[in-house]
Amino acid sequence: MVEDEIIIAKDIERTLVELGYRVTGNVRTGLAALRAIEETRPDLMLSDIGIKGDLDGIELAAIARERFALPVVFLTSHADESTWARASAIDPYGYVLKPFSPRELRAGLEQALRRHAADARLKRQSNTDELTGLNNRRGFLMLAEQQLKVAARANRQAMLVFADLNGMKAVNDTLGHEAGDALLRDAAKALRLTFRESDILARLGGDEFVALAIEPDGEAQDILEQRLQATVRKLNDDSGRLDPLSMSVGVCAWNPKVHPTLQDLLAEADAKMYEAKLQHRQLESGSMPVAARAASVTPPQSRSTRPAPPAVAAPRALELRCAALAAQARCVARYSRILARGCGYTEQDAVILGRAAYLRDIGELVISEADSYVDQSSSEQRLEHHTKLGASLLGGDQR
Amino acid sequence: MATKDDFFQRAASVALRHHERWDGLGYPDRLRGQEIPMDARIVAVADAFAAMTRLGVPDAAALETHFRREAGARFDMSVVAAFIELLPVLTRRAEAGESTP
Repeated sequence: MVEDEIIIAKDIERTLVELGYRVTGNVRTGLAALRAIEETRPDLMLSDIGIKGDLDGIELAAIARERFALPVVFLTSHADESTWARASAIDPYGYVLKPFSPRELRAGLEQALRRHAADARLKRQSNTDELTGLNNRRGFLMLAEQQLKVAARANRQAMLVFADLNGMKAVNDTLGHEAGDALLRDAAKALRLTFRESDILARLGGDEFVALAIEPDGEAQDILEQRLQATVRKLNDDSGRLDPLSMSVGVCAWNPKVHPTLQDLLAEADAKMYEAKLQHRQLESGSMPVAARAASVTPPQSRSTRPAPPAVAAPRALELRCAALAAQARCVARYSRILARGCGYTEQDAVILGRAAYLRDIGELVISEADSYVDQSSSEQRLEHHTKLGASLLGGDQR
Repeated sequence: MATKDDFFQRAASVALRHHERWDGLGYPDRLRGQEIPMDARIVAVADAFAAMTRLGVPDAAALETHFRREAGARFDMSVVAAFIELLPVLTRRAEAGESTP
Protein backbone atom coordinates (compact mmCIF):
# COMPACT_ATOMS: atom_id res chain seq x y z
CA MET A 1 0.00 0.00 0.00
CA VAL A 2 1.35 3.36 -1.03
CA GLU A 3 -0.52 6.38 0.29
CA ASP A 4 1.09 9.56 1.56
CA GLU A 5 -1.73 10.78 3.75
CA ILE A 6 -1.22 8.82 6.89
CA ILE A 7 -4.76 8.99 8.20
CA ILE A 8 -6.21 7.72 4.93
CA ALA A 9 -3.47 5.07 4.81
CA LYS A 10 -4.35 3.72 8.23
CA ASP A 11 -8.02 3.74 7.34
CA ILE A 12 -7.50 1.78 4.14
CA GLU A 13 -5.21 -0.70 5.86
CA ARG A 14 -7.89 -1.40 8.43
CA THR A 15 -10.47 -1.92 5.69
CA LEU A 16 -8.12 -4.28 3.82
CA VAL A 17 -7.48 -6.35 6.94
CA GLU A 18 -11.20 -6.53 7.63
CA LEU A 19 -11.73 -7.78 4.09
CA GLY A 20 -9.24 -10.56 4.78
CA TYR A 21 -6.15 -9.26 2.96
CA ARG A 22 -2.69 -9.24 4.46
CA VAL A 23 -0.99 -5.85 4.17
CA THR A 24 2.73 -6.53 3.71
CA GLY A 25 3.70 -2.88 3.79
CA ASN A 26 2.13 0.52 4.24
CA VAL A 27 4.48 3.23 2.97
CA ARG A 28 4.43 6.90 2.00
CA THR A 29 6.83 7.24 -0.94
CA GLY A 30 7.76 5.49 -4.18
CA LEU A 31 11.28 4.60 -3.06
CA ALA A 32 10.04 3.14 0.20
CA ALA A 33 7.51 1.16 -1.83
CA LEU A 34 10.23 -0.35 -4.05
CA ARG A 35 12.21 -1.38 -0.99
CA ALA A 36 9.13 -2.95 0.58
CA ILE A 37 8.25 -4.80 -2.63
CA GLU A 38 11.75 -6.21 -2.82
CA GLU A 39 11.60 -7.41 0.77
CA THR A 40 8.05 -8.69 1.08
CA ARG A 41 7.13 -9.70 -2.50
CA PRO A 42 3.42 -8.88 -2.34
CA ASP A 43 0.83 -10.17 -4.84
CA LEU A 44 -0.42 -6.71 -5.65
CA MET A 45 0.33 -3.04 -5.09
CA LEU A 46 -2.40 -0.56 -4.19
CA SER A 47 -1.06 2.92 -4.82
CA ASP A 48 -2.31 6.46 -4.74
CA ILE A 49 -1.53 8.22 -8.02
CA GLY A 50 -0.50 11.55 -6.51
CA ILE A 51 2.05 10.52 -3.90
CA LYS A 52 4.81 12.98 -2.99
CA GLY A 53 8.52 12.37 -3.33
CA ASP A 54 10.86 11.37 -6.15
CA LEU A 55 8.44 9.05 -7.90
CA ASP A 56 4.75 9.63 -8.38
CA GLY A 57 2.33 6.72 -8.37
CA ILE A 58 2.41 6.26 -12.11
CA GLU A 59 6.20 6.12 -12.34
CA LEU A 60 6.28 3.78 -9.37
CA ALA A 61 3.72 1.49 -10.98
CA ALA A 62 5.73 1.33 -14.21
CA ILE A 63 8.86 0.28 -12.33
CA ALA A 64 7.03 -2.23 -10.12
CA ARG A 65 5.53 -3.79 -13.20
CA GLU A 66 8.75 -3.88 -15.15
CA ARG A 67 11.03 -5.07 -12.41
CA PHE A 68 8.79 -7.27 -10.27
CA ALA A 69 5.91 -8.14 -12.62
CA LEU A 70 3.67 -6.75 -9.91
CA PRO A 71 0.06 -5.87 -10.72
CA VAL A 72 -0.98 -2.37 -9.69
CA VAL A 73 -4.30 -0.88 -8.70
CA PHE A 74 -4.52 2.90 -8.56
CA LEU A 75 -6.28 4.65 -5.77
CA THR A 76 -7.33 8.07 -6.87
CA SER A 77 -9.56 11.04 -6.58
CA HIS A 78 -7.70 12.72 -9.41
CA ALA A 79 -9.78 13.03 -12.49
CA ASP A 80 -7.91 15.48 -14.67
CA GLU A 81 -7.42 14.33 -18.25
CA SER A 82 -3.63 14.32 -18.37
CA THR A 83 -3.33 12.18 -15.23
CA TRP A 84 -5.83 9.71 -16.64
CA ALA A 85 -3.93 9.58 -19.90
CA ARG A 86 -0.60 8.92 -18.18
CA ALA A 87 -2.12 6.34 -15.85
CA SER A 88 -3.85 4.54 -18.72
CA ALA A 89 -0.64 4.42 -20.71
CA ILE A 90 0.94 2.03 -18.25
CA ASP A 91 -2.16 -0.17 -18.40
CA PRO A 92 -2.84 -0.65 -14.68
CA TYR A 93 -4.86 -3.61 -13.48
CA GLY A 94 -7.56 -1.37 -12.08
CA TYR A 95 -8.66 1.88 -10.45
CA VAL A 96 -10.45 2.45 -7.19
CA LEU A 97 -11.95 5.93 -6.96
CA LYS A 98 -11.91 7.72 -3.64
CA PRO A 99 -14.09 7.78 -1.67
CA PHE A 100 -14.94 4.10 -1.92
CA SER A 101 -16.87 1.49 0.01
CA PRO A 102 -15.14 -1.70 1.24
CA ARG A 103 -17.11 -3.59 -1.38
CA GLU A 104 -15.80 -1.39 -4.18
CA LEU A 105 -12.26 -1.83 -2.91
CA ARG A 106 -12.61 -5.59 -2.84
CA ALA A 107 -14.11 -5.72 -6.31
CA GLY A 108 -11.23 -3.64 -7.68
CA LEU A 109 -8.57 -5.80 -6.05
CA GLU A 110 -10.15 -9.15 -6.94
CA GLN A 111 -10.55 -8.16 -10.56
CA ALA A 112 -6.92 -7.09 -10.72
CA LEU A 113 -5.71 -10.34 -9.15
CA ARG A 114 -7.80 -12.41 -11.55
CA ARG A 115 -6.56 -10.52 -14.57
CA HIS A 116 -3.00 -10.82 -13.42
CA ALA A 117 -3.33 -14.57 -12.91
CA ALA A 118 -4.78 -14.92 -16.40
CA ASP A 119 -1.95 -12.87 -17.86
CA ALA A 120 0.61 -14.99 -16.04
CA ARG A 121 -1.01 -18.16 -17.37
CA LEU A 122 -0.93 -16.80 -20.89
CA LYS A 123 2.69 -15.81 -20.51
CA ARG A 124 3.57 -19.27 -19.23
CA GLN A 125 1.81 -20.80 -22.21
CA SER A 126 3.60 -18.59 -24.68
CA ASN A 127 6.92 -19.68 -23.18
CA THR A 128 6.12 -23.39 -23.13
CA ASP A 129 6.48 -26.03 -25.79
CA GLU A 130 3.10 -27.67 -26.04
CA LEU A 131 4.29 -31.12 -27.06
CA THR A 132 6.88 -31.69 -24.35
CA GLY A 133 5.90 -29.22 -21.64
CA LEU A 134 9.47 -27.90 -21.60
CA ASN A 135 10.26 -24.27 -22.25
CA ASN A 136 10.18 -23.22 -25.86
CA ARG A 137 12.91 -21.11 -27.43
CA ARG A 138 11.39 -17.87 -26.17
CA GLY A 139 11.02 -19.15 -22.66
CA PHE A 140 14.50 -20.57 -22.67
CA LEU A 141 16.18 -17.40 -23.90
CA MET A 142 14.38 -15.35 -21.28
CA LEU A 143 15.05 -17.67 -18.34
CA ALA A 144 18.60 -18.50 -19.36
CA GLU A 145 19.53 -14.82 -19.75
CA GLN A 146 18.22 -14.20 -16.24
CA GLN A 147 20.00 -17.20 -14.77
CA LEU A 148 23.32 -16.32 -16.38
CA LYS A 149 23.09 -12.80 -15.00
CA VAL A 150 22.44 -14.16 -11.53
CA ALA A 151 25.21 -16.71 -11.93
CA ALA A 152 27.65 -14.01 -13.06
CA ARG A 153 26.89 -11.89 -10.01
CA ALA A 154 27.14 -14.82 -7.62
CA ASN A 155 30.24 -16.16 -9.37
CA ARG A 156 28.55 -19.45 -10.09
CA GLN A 157 29.39 -21.92 -12.81
CA ALA A 158 27.07 -22.98 -15.58
CA MET A 159 27.06 -25.55 -18.31
CA LEU A 160 25.04 -25.66 -21.47
CA VAL A 161 24.04 -28.97 -22.99
CA PHE A 162 22.83 -29.02 -26.57
CA ALA A 163 21.12 -32.25 -27.63
CA ASP A 164 19.81 -33.11 -31.04
CA LEU A 165 17.89 -36.27 -31.87
CA ASN A 166 19.44 -38.63 -34.38
CA GLY A 167 17.37 -40.11 -37.15
CA MET A 168 14.27 -38.04 -36.41
CA LYS A 169 13.46 -37.62 -40.07
CA ALA A 170 13.63 -41.35 -40.67
CA VAL A 171 11.22 -42.00 -37.79
CA ASN A 172 8.76 -39.41 -39.09
CA ASP A 173 8.99 -40.80 -42.61
CA THR A 174 8.74 -44.49 -41.82
CA LEU A 175 6.77 -44.70 -38.58
CA GLY A 176 4.70 -41.53 -38.86
CA HIS A 177 4.49 -38.28 -37.01
CA GLU A 178 2.92 -39.80 -33.91
CA ALA A 179 5.98 -41.95 -33.43
CA GLY A 180 8.06 -38.84 -34.01
CA ASP A 181 6.13 -36.94 -31.36
CA ALA A 182 6.48 -39.83 -28.92
CA LEU A 183 10.22 -39.73 -29.52
CA LEU A 184 10.33 -36.00 -28.79
CA ARG A 185 8.38 -36.55 -25.56
CA ASP A 186 10.83 -39.28 -24.57
CA ALA A 187 13.72 -36.93 -25.21
CA ALA A 188 12.10 -34.39 -22.89
CA LYS A 189 11.68 -37.15 -20.30
CA ALA A 190 15.35 -38.08 -20.60
CA LEU A 191 16.29 -34.46 -19.92
CA ARG A 192 13.95 -34.25 -16.92
CA LEU A 193 15.38 -37.44 -15.46
CA THR A 194 18.95 -36.29 -15.97
CA PHE A 195 18.82 -32.70 -14.85
CA ARG A 196 17.67 -31.02 -11.70
CA GLU A 197 14.45 -29.16 -11.14
CA SER A 198 16.36 -25.90 -11.02
CA ASP A 199 18.07 -26.41 -14.38
CA ILE A 200 16.47 -24.79 -17.40
CA LEU A 201 15.28 -27.29 -19.98
CA ALA A 202 13.88 -26.44 -23.36
CA ARG A 203 12.95 -27.69 -26.77
CA LEU A 204 14.35 -25.03 -29.07
CA GLY A 205 12.40 -26.29 -32.02
CA GLY A 206 12.32 -29.32 -34.31
CA ASP A 207 14.46 -32.00 -32.70
CA GLU A 208 16.79 -29.65 -30.83
CA PHE A 209 16.87 -29.57 -27.04
CA VAL A 210 18.95 -27.63 -24.56
CA ALA A 211 19.63 -27.68 -20.85
CA LEU A 212 21.32 -24.96 -18.86
CA ALA A 213 22.69 -26.36 -15.63
CA ILE A 214 23.61 -23.74 -13.07
CA GLU A 215 26.32 -24.79 -10.66
CA PRO A 216 26.61 -28.33 -11.93
CA ASP A 217 28.54 -29.40 -8.82
CA GLY A 218 31.84 -28.90 -10.60
CA GLU A 219 31.00 -31.87 -12.73
CA ALA A 220 33.12 -32.44 -15.77
CA GLN A 221 31.41 -31.92 -19.11
CA ASP A 222 31.91 -35.57 -19.98
CA ILE A 223 30.09 -36.77 -16.89
CA LEU A 224 27.05 -34.65 -17.63
CA GLU A 225 26.90 -36.04 -21.12
CA GLN A 226 27.48 -39.60 -19.98
CA ARG A 227 24.67 -39.28 -17.48
CA LEU A 228 22.33 -38.06 -20.19
CA GLN A 229 23.32 -40.87 -22.52
CA ALA A 230 22.91 -43.42 -19.72
CA THR A 231 19.39 -42.14 -19.09
CA VAL A 232 18.63 -42.46 -22.80
CA ARG A 233 19.90 -46.05 -22.83
CA LYS A 234 17.81 -46.92 -19.81
CA LEU A 235 14.67 -45.38 -21.36
CA ASN A 236 15.31 -47.41 -24.50
CA ASP A 237 15.81 -50.63 -22.55
CA ASP A 238 12.61 -50.06 -20.61
CA SER A 239 10.48 -49.21 -23.63
CA GLY A 240 11.78 -51.86 -26.00
CA ARG A 241 10.56 -49.74 -28.89
CA LEU A 242 11.32 -49.98 -32.57
CA ASP A 243 12.73 -46.51 -32.81
CA PRO A 244 15.24 -46.14 -30.01
CA LEU A 245 15.97 -42.65 -28.82
CA SER A 246 19.40 -41.44 -29.83
CA MET A 247 20.96 -38.02 -29.31
CA SER A 248 24.02 -36.15 -30.45
CA VAL A 249 25.14 -34.03 -27.54
CA GLY A 250 27.40 -30.99 -27.26
CA VAL A 251 28.36 -29.66 -23.84
CA CYS A 252 29.97 -26.32 -23.18
CA ALA A 253 31.15 -24.95 -19.85
CA TRP A 254 30.26 -21.30 -19.53
CA ASN A 255 33.09 -18.83 -19.30
CA PRO A 256 31.86 -15.22 -19.22
CA LYS A 257 35.09 -14.05 -20.88
CA VAL A 258 34.76 -16.47 -23.77
CA HIS A 259 30.96 -16.31 -23.95
CA PRO A 260 29.93 -12.74 -23.18
CA THR A 261 26.40 -13.44 -24.39
CA LEU A 262 24.04 -16.39 -24.18
CA GLN A 263 24.21 -16.56 -27.97
CA ASP A 264 27.95 -17.26 -27.80
CA LEU A 265 27.41 -20.06 -25.33
CA LEU A 266 24.63 -21.54 -27.44
CA ALA A 267 26.75 -21.26 -30.58
CA GLU A 268 29.62 -23.16 -29.05
CA ALA A 269 27.53 -25.94 -27.52
CA ASP A 270 25.76 -26.16 -30.86
CA ALA A 271 29.05 -26.43 -32.75
CA LYS A 272 30.12 -29.25 -30.45
CA MET A 273 26.80 -30.94 -31.00
CA TYR A 274 27.48 -30.82 -34.72
CA GLU A 275 30.86 -32.46 -34.20
CA ALA A 276 29.10 -35.23 -32.32
CA LYS A 277 26.52 -35.48 -35.08
CA LEU A 278 29.30 -35.77 -37.61
CA GLN A 279 30.77 -38.66 -35.71
CA HIS A 280 27.36 -40.27 -35.39
CA ARG A 281 26.78 -40.01 -39.13
CA GLN A 282 30.11 -41.65 -39.81
CA LEU A 283 29.37 -44.46 -37.41
CA GLU A 284 25.94 -44.83 -38.91
CA SER A 285 27.24 -45.04 -42.46
CA GLY A 286 29.40 -47.82 -41.04
CA SER A 287 32.15 -48.59 -43.46
CA MET A 288 33.69 -45.15 -43.45
CA PRO A 289 35.19 -44.22 -40.11
CA VAL A 290 37.17 -41.00 -40.16
CA ALA A 291 40.49 -42.78 -40.31
CA ALA A 292 39.51 -44.59 -43.46
CA ARG A 293 38.27 -41.41 -45.03
CA ALA A 294 41.41 -39.59 -44.12
CA ALA A 295 43.42 -42.25 -45.84
CA SER A 296 41.16 -42.33 -48.83
CA VAL A 297 41.93 -38.76 -49.82
CA THR A 298 44.88 -38.88 -52.13
CA PRO A 299 47.77 -36.82 -50.76
CA PRO A 300 49.28 -34.25 -53.11
CA GLN A 301 52.10 -36.58 -54.12
CA SER A 302 51.88 -40.19 -55.04
CA ARG A 303 51.46 -42.66 -52.25
CA SER A 304 54.63 -44.48 -53.08
CA THR A 305 56.85 -41.58 -52.03
CA ARG A 306 54.71 -40.21 -49.21
CA PRO A 307 53.12 -42.15 -46.40
CA ALA A 308 49.41 -41.62 -46.03
CA PRO A 309 48.38 -39.96 -42.74
CA PRO A 310 48.28 -42.56 -40.00
CA ALA A 311 44.93 -43.64 -38.71
CA VAL A 312 43.37 -41.08 -36.42
CA ALA A 313 40.29 -41.13 -34.27
CA ALA A 314 37.18 -39.19 -35.14
CA PRO A 315 37.57 -35.43 -34.78
CA ARG A 316 35.11 -35.49 -31.92
CA ALA A 317 37.22 -33.87 -29.29
CA LEU A 318 38.46 -30.89 -31.22
CA GLU A 319 38.64 -29.18 -27.86
CA LEU A 320 40.79 -31.76 -26.14
CA ARG A 321 43.00 -32.41 -29.11
CA CYS A 322 44.14 -28.94 -29.69
CA ALA A 323 42.97 -26.10 -27.52
CA ALA A 324 44.68 -23.51 -29.67
CA LEU A 325 42.91 -24.57 -32.84
CA ALA A 326 39.60 -24.70 -31.02
CA ALA A 327 39.99 -21.20 -29.58
CA GLN A 328 40.89 -19.91 -33.02
CA ALA A 329 37.91 -21.74 -34.49
CA ARG A 330 35.60 -20.12 -31.97
CA CYS A 331 36.87 -16.68 -32.95
CA VAL A 332 36.54 -17.36 -36.65
CA ALA A 333 33.01 -18.66 -36.12
CA ARG A 334 32.10 -15.53 -34.20
CA TYR A 335 33.66 -13.12 -36.69
CA SER A 336 32.13 -14.96 -39.63
CA ARG A 337 28.72 -14.61 -38.04
CA ILE A 338 29.17 -10.86 -37.57
CA LEU A 339 30.59 -10.38 -41.06
CA ALA A 340 27.85 -12.44 -42.67
CA ARG A 341 25.25 -10.15 -41.14
CA GLY A 342 27.18 -7.19 -42.54
CA CYS A 343 27.12 -8.85 -45.95
CA GLY A 344 23.34 -9.03 -45.89
CA TYR A 345 22.84 -12.60 -44.62
CA THR A 346 19.74 -13.21 -42.53
CA GLU A 347 20.31 -13.81 -38.84
CA GLN A 348 19.61 -17.52 -39.20
CA ASP A 349 21.88 -17.85 -42.20
CA ALA A 350 24.66 -16.00 -40.41
CA VAL A 351 24.40 -18.40 -37.47
CA ILE A 352 24.65 -21.39 -39.79
CA LEU A 353 27.70 -19.93 -41.48
CA GLY A 354 29.24 -19.43 -38.05
CA ARG A 355 28.82 -23.13 -37.34
CA ALA A 356 30.31 -24.03 -40.68
CA ALA A 357 33.25 -21.69 -40.07
CA TYR A 358 33.93 -23.44 -36.76
CA LEU A 359 34.59 -26.66 -38.66
CA ARG A 360 36.58 -25.08 -41.52
CA ASP A 361 39.98 -26.48 -40.52
CA ILE A 362 38.82 -29.89 -39.43
CA GLY A 363 41.00 -31.38 -42.16
CA GLU A 364 44.07 -29.65 -40.77
CA LEU A 365 43.36 -31.10 -37.37
CA VAL A 366 43.46 -34.59 -38.78
CA ILE A 367 46.62 -33.87 -40.73
CA SER A 368 48.36 -32.29 -37.75
CA GLU A 369 48.12 -35.64 -36.02
CA ALA A 370 50.10 -37.19 -38.80
CA ASP A 371 53.37 -35.59 -37.81
CA SER A 372 55.57 -37.37 -40.26
CA TYR A 373 53.36 -36.23 -43.04
CA VAL A 374 53.34 -32.61 -41.91
CA ASP A 375 57.11 -32.49 -41.63
CA GLN A 376 57.66 -33.56 -45.16
CA SER A 377 55.12 -31.38 -46.87
CA SER A 378 55.31 -27.73 -47.82
CA SER A 379 52.69 -25.35 -46.49
CA GLU A 380 51.11 -25.15 -49.95
CA GLN A 381 50.70 -28.88 -50.08
CA ARG A 382 49.19 -28.83 -46.66
CA LEU A 383 46.75 -26.09 -47.60
CA GLU A 384 45.69 -28.03 -50.63
CA HIS A 385 45.42 -31.26 -48.75
CA HIS A 386 43.66 -30.07 -45.63
CA THR A 387 40.92 -28.26 -47.50
CA LYS A 388 40.11 -31.35 -49.53
CA LEU A 389 40.37 -33.62 -46.55
CA GLY A 390 38.09 -31.36 -44.51
CA ALA A 391 35.46 -31.31 -47.22
CA SER A 392 35.68 -35.06 -47.49
CA LEU A 393 35.32 -35.53 -43.74
CA LEU A 394 32.23 -33.36 -43.77
CA GLY A 395 30.77 -35.41 -46.58
CA GLY A 396 30.82 -32.75 -49.26
CA ASP A 397 31.04 -33.75 -52.88
CA GLN A 398 34.14 -31.60 -53.46
CA ARG A 399 32.75 -29.55 -56.27
CA MET B 1 16.64 -33.78 -40.97
CA ALA B 2 17.18 -32.37 -44.40
CA THR B 3 18.54 -29.14 -42.97
CA LYS B 4 21.37 -31.04 -41.34
CA ASP B 5 22.46 -32.56 -44.61
CA ASP B 6 22.37 -29.07 -46.06
CA PHE B 7 24.50 -27.90 -43.21
CA PHE B 8 27.20 -30.49 -43.75
CA GLN B 9 27.19 -29.77 -47.45
CA ARG B 10 27.71 -26.12 -46.66
CA ALA B 11 30.38 -26.77 -44.04
CA ALA B 12 32.20 -28.99 -46.52
CA SER B 13 32.13 -26.21 -49.09
CA VAL B 14 33.55 -23.74 -46.54
CA ALA B 15 36.27 -26.19 -45.53
CA LEU B 16 37.18 -26.75 -49.18
CA ARG B 17 37.10 -23.13 -50.33
CA HIS B 18 38.24 -20.91 -47.48
CA HIS B 19 41.84 -20.80 -48.74
CA GLU B 20 40.89 -19.80 -52.28
CA ARG B 21 41.86 -16.25 -53.24
CA TRP B 22 39.84 -13.65 -55.12
CA ASP B 23 42.69 -13.29 -57.67
CA GLY B 24 42.68 -16.99 -58.44
CA LEU B 25 46.00 -17.83 -56.76
CA GLY B 26 44.55 -19.76 -53.83
CA TYR B 27 44.07 -23.38 -52.81
CA PRO B 28 43.13 -26.01 -53.61
CA ASP B 29 41.71 -25.23 -57.06
CA ARG B 30 42.70 -21.65 -57.89
CA LEU B 31 39.10 -20.57 -58.23
CA ARG B 32 38.70 -16.91 -59.04
CA GLY B 33 36.30 -14.18 -57.87
CA GLN B 34 32.65 -15.12 -57.99
CA GLU B 35 33.53 -18.77 -58.57
CA ILE B 36 34.32 -18.90 -54.87
CA PRO B 37 31.14 -19.31 -52.80
CA MET B 38 30.19 -16.24 -50.73
CA ASP B 39 30.35 -18.31 -47.52
CA ALA B 40 34.01 -19.07 -48.10
CA ARG B 41 34.83 -15.46 -49.03
CA ILE B 42 33.40 -14.31 -45.71
CA VAL B 43 35.16 -16.99 -43.68
CA ALA B 44 38.47 -16.14 -45.40
CA VAL B 45 38.29 -12.58 -44.08
CA ALA B 46 37.14 -13.72 -40.63
CA ASP B 47 39.96 -16.26 -40.55
CA ALA B 48 42.59 -13.65 -41.42
CA PHE B 49 41.24 -11.26 -38.83
CA ALA B 50 41.28 -13.97 -36.16
CA ALA B 51 44.87 -14.82 -37.05
CA MET B 52 45.96 -11.17 -36.88
CA THR B 53 44.30 -10.56 -33.53
CA ARG B 54 45.34 -13.81 -31.93
CA LEU B 55 48.11 -12.32 -29.82
CA GLY B 56 46.60 -8.89 -29.33
CA VAL B 57 44.62 -6.45 -31.39
CA PRO B 58 46.63 -4.15 -33.70
CA ASP B 59 45.31 -0.61 -34.05
CA ALA B 60 42.32 -0.06 -36.28
CA ALA B 61 44.21 1.97 -38.86
CA ALA B 62 46.77 -0.79 -39.39
CA LEU B 63 44.05 -3.38 -39.74
CA GLU B 64 42.14 -1.26 -42.19
CA THR B 65 45.23 -0.62 -44.33
CA HIS B 66 46.07 -4.30 -44.40
CA PHE B 67 42.64 -5.47 -45.44
CA ARG B 68 42.19 -2.69 -48.00
CA ARG B 69 45.46 -3.71 -49.61
CA GLU B 70 44.30 -7.32 -49.83
CA ALA B 71 40.88 -6.41 -51.24
CA GLY B 72 40.71 -7.63 -54.81
CA ALA B 73 43.82 -9.76 -54.29
CA ARG B 74 43.20 -12.19 -51.48
CA PHE B 75 39.71 -11.03 -50.53
CA ASP B 76 36.44 -10.05 -52.09
CA MET B 77 36.17 -6.25 -52.08
CA SER B 78 32.54 -6.28 -50.96
CA VAL B 79 33.39 -8.45 -47.94
CA VAL B 80 36.30 -6.17 -47.06
CA ALA B 81 33.95 -3.18 -47.27
CA ALA B 82 31.56 -4.85 -44.81
CA PHE B 83 34.52 -5.81 -42.66
CA ILE B 84 35.79 -2.22 -42.45
CA GLU B 85 32.34 -0.99 -41.56
CA LEU B 86 32.16 -3.57 -38.77
CA LEU B 87 35.73 -3.08 -37.61
CA PRO B 88 34.74 -1.35 -34.34
CA VAL B 89 32.39 -4.24 -33.45
CA LEU B 90 34.89 -6.90 -34.44
CA THR B 91 37.75 -5.23 -32.60
CA ARG B 92 35.66 -5.00 -29.49
CA ARG B 93 34.82 -8.68 -29.73
CA ALA B 94 38.46 -9.55 -30.32
CA GLU B 95 39.52 -7.57 -27.26
CA ALA B 96 36.77 -9.07 -25.12
CA GLY B 97 37.44 -12.61 -26.25
CA GLU B 98 40.25 -14.93 -25.31
CA SER B 99 43.53 -13.07 -25.61
CA THR B 100 45.62 -16.13 -26.34
CA PRO B 101 44.46 -19.57 -27.20
